Amino acid sequence: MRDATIKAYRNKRETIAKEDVESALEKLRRTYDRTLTEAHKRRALAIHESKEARDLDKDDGISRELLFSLTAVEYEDENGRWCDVDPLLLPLVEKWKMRE
Amino acid sequence: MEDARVEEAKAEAARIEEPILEEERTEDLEEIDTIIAELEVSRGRGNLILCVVNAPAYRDGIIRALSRRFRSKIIPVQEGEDVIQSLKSGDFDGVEVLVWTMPEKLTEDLADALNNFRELFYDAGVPSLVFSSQSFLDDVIRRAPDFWRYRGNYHELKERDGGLAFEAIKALSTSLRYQNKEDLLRRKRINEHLLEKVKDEREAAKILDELGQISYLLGDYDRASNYLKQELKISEEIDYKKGVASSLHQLGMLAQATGDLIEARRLYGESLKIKQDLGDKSGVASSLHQLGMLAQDEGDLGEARRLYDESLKIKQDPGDKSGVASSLHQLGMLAQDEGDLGEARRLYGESLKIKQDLGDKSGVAITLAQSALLEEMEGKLERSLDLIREAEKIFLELGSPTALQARQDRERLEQKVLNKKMHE
Repeated sequence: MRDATIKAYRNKRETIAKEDVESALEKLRRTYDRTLTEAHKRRALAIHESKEARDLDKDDGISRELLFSLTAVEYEDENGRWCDVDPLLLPLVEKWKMRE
Repeated sequence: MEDARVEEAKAEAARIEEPILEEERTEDLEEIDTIIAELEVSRGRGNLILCVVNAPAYRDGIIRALSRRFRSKIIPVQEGEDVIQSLKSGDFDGVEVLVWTMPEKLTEDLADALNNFRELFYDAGVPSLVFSSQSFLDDVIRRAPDFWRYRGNYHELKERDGGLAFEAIKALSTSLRYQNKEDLLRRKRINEHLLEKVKDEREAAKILDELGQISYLLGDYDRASNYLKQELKISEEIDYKKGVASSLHQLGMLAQATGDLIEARRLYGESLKIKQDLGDKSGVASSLHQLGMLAQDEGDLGEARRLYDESLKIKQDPGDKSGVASSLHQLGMLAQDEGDLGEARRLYGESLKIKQDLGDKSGVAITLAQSALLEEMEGKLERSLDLIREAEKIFLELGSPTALQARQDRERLEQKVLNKKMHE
């Protein structure tokens, strides 16, 4: 949102345009897509399917890394705690699924 | 008839390729402009802006350009302690931006410092701009996620051709004079045509030299480099020393424009030696001028002044008015860098008068644009805006890549003037 806001400001727009948001999101997705390893991507897909983020054992930190880097996020509601990939990154999930 | 068709095809090719080059340059310029806008709105407050640039020379060019707009404190980081000590010292009096340059690799110690002391970046009361390579940022996302989450914006620069366009406008030591972009393109076509027809190798070297200069002025650095390397090869083969010196000099300018300052110095040095052996005083002055610009880029202002003075002295002897105007402009920039704004104004004024008398439109635009930055530093925003508008108009007429920079400056100044009026 900050990225989109500053772009709108720079372009002298009083409101944030859709293209400002799209361009900021695209940059964020590109960065995550590049940064995450194949193991991270596989785990992100698993989190998306199961809505749970657990490391396999004490030496496995992949789910933790996904949560820390905000690739995956934790929610709490009337159904208890559950996890999913950050909704902003869901288009990447679709892309990774197609490569599986 | 066939020649006419060839000319037409070449002209069409030139029309097609130019917007592509411009678009590539614009991407980075727009990103840099966004950084500037963000730094403007963050004045006097903490902010954490990340910026990815892979080549250190390119990064340094951007830092130099930003430092001319914001009083910056540059903090090279090697280990975590550098970050902690600098932030805890709170020694930011008069500083508008903290510029951090990260090392190649994110060590565990540095990741811990960024994670654990991330709040200090905001407590500093001054925006921080953190430069790192792509691989460093990738590591940050994985290994310093708290710092990553705490960031403001982040920017990625692609550093394509002409990426150093955001440097302060300099008076380069080129001999080509032209009226507008059409004039430049016309000369390009004529030279390309002549190159196909010419039999004499020395003449071919001269044509390649001018084609190199034209391509450089149009911002097409790859093509300029090809022409100049051809010129160098031919000149060496026929032992045409003037051609060797000229091509080395211009290749040095290309290296400088793309941020390879070490290679630029080597090439200028080689060229200078040949010119000295030939007794080519004007050429020597030109080399000294460029070496002065290199020293200025590297922050060695004393050495820059010595070289400009030496160059100016040589140019004054044979009455090389254009060269004198160029030197006066650079000495003005030096005075501006040193904070002597009155002296800078005097030198720009002298330089401008000579260029106007000579009808040197490109030189006039360069000095007007630099004067605009000077007026801005003194808070005379309306005057600054008038000057940059005038400069932009000329750059556009000339088809100069510097028009992009002038446009960015003009837009920024328009915003500042508007903000000022709203607060009045």
